[in-house]
Amino acid sequence: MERQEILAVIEKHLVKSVPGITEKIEEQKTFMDYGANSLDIVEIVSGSMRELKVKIPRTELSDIKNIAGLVDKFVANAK
Amino acid sequence: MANTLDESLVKHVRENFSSYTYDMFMMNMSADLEEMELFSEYVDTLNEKKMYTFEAARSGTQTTETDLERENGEIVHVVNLSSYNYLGLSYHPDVIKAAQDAVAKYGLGASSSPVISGTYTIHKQLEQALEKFFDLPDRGVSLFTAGYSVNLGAISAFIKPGHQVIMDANSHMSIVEGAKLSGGDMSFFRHNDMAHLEELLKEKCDDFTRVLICVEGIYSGDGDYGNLKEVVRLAKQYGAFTLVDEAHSALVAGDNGRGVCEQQGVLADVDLYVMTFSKAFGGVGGAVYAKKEIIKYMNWYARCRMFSCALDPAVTGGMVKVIELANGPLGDERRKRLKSNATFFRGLLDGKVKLSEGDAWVVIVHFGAESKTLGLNDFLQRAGLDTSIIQFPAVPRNEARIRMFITSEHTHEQLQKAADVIIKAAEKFDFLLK
Repeated sequence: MERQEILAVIEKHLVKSVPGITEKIEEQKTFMDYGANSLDIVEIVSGSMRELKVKIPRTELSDIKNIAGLVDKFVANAK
Repeated sequence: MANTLDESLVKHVRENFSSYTYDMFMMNMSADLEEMELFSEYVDTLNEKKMYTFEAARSGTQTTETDLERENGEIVHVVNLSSYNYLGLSYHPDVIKAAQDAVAKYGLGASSSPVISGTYTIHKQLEQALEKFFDLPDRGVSLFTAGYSVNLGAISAFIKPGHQVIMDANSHMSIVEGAKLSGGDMSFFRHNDMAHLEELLKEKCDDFTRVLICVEGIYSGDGDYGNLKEVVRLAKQYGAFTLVDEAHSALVAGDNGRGVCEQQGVLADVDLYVMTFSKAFGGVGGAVYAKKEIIKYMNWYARCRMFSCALDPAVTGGMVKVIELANGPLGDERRKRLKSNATFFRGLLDGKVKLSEGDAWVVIVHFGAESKTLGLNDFLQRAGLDTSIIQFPAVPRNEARIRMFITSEHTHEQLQKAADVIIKAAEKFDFLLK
């Protein structure tokens, strides 16, 4: 699975949870930088998992520091 | 449904329970009930290890000391710093009598929506008592059955798609959910950062939309005051409306208990004043106080009010008495004692642990990583102190906190004992200031 493909899905769910984002999404930023609260993040992660059909173990979620970190988790857990 | 769980997941939860946080059970990507079954395993594991401190049952009222019965049957005796009963009014004999009289006269439930046949004369008395208490011209009250519902209903009635809601980033979940439900555009300013609020107002305000700024009198996760004076000034400058949630401050803050709005001299300038009856009022439910034309609209268009049964008569009767007491010498005396208790307690911890700023009766002690939460809360209860612990996702990661609610009824001995327990815990769990 390509990083760009994963990033596009995450972006889609980020914009769905936090409407009104117009700027380009940068991987090094956090979801909070784009105005997402902790519950939005849960929605973004679970929505992305569902769409990508990739499951990230629950306890690995706390390691994710920024958007790139989530992409990494998807890459690592993709079969 | 049969248990469909993968055994390795169960094993992982059981062996690594302390690394799991609430948010981890909020997601699922399949049709099964995995997150619910795993959460159930998690709670069972904590009970087996005698570490499940939540949902412990009280055998009596929310007094300053109480016995808790944990889900596994263990009983612990604690100094109670975990209830919102700031003025001790939930168990005042006159309040209990008023509630008993109301239930005897009106029955147990209101049996209908307030806009159909659920409004009783006791509800009218409560509305009038609140109007008299706040005493501003042309204002009215709309009653709700939960504080949460007030924000949910009031924001979603006030804001329509195309409007704007600007919230403090640390706003209560009920404000965020109300904004979501409204369909308006949502934005957040950094907690109490007035420059950031002004940036957003410059961007969002124009003649074609309505803008509502939502803030709180006291932020219950942070224990600090909202900067209401500046919020009101900015709202006026940019033509926005204001909602102030005084859940933890109505009846308590300000010389006369009118809240942080009174304390900061902006009571008459706030458009929607939200109060919760489950805190200093000692009951349950809530209300919004606003101009009469707004209130008439709220009564019909706050859907969670319109489609819920009216507030129950016993609580309503109790609330009428609470306001009478809080508006008299007893209220003045208890407010004074509450503030002095909060100052005394903060003094015992000051310099020893990382405390919330200010002088409020919601006292926050930061302990850092949420991985400490379960062990710490178990230690506190067994040492004789019950608190309200908060961790991610209610607060940011690694900013977990012990939250304590001081009341006017705590004695200095109880507060001293509580502070001693906190300091012992800080030594054991490594959050004592060096």
